[in-house]
Amino acid sequence: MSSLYYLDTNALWKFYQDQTGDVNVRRLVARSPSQVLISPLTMLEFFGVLMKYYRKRLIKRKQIHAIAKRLRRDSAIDNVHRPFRVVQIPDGSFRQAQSILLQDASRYSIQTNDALHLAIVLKLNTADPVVLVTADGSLQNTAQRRGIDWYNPETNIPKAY
Amino acid sequence: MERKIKLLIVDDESEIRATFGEFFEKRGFDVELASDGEEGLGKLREGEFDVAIVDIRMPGMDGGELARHVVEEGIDTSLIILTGHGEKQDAIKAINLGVGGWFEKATVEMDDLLQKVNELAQVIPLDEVRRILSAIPEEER
Repeated sequence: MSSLYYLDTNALWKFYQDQTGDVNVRRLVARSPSQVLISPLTMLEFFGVLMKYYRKRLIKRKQIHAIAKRLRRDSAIDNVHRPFRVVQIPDGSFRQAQSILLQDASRYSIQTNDALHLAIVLKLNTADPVVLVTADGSLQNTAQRRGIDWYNPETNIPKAY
Repeated sequence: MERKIKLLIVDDESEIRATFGEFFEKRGFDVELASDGEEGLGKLREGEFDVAIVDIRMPGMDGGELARHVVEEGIDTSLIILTGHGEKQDAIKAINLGVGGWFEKATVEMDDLLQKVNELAQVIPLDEVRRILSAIPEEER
């Protein structure tokens, strides 16, 4: 049985931007036998970071559009020739995210969007297990409590249950 | 594996759809056809096309209206408008909407159209994305 990989937003950035763990994410994407999963939340947050760069005048509007177009072309819902597959947010994900926050945010520093990423992974109905790719320690701890496998591209440490 | 360019041809003339469709399929494109504006817009909303070639004159929703929808809905497909003789004003309106190119249907050179489709389908290379983003200071990442 092979695993599917789901990238949180920080992990997706490592595919496009040179930063700690970038080589591991790029290797994972290149070697994954199936498309690597992202969600509309991952894409939305990615665009949010791009716009933050724009507000700070670190990037030009034309570059934003070019990079956004590149990400859209790299991801698809219906084409196996692209590295990323955008999964729809499963029903019940927001309720599940509420539950995660109420149960785990008192112990771990997880944000609303982190809880939603976890809820999406938990709710995904796939034949193969899904591994959450994240460098965020709180997200890893919460995933661990929920029995979700994770992979930290910054340390190259996988955690399986 | 190299990804095929996804192309949509929207035209109410079946001969144009067949001729253009065959031309691009023979050159390795993944081609879909639509016979009017409504069908074309439906496919654009669902299909993640790289480029669409759209006739400006069609019954019902015409090419200009379809282009407006594409822009307003943020559909990430580049459009090429085909016009009839003397419809330059319509082409200008479409270009002002952000359409990527226009050709006169009766006189279009297929090699020019092919070149334009290829040009519009191009995305920024991954290395270039990384080069742009590498300029972001570490503390801002």
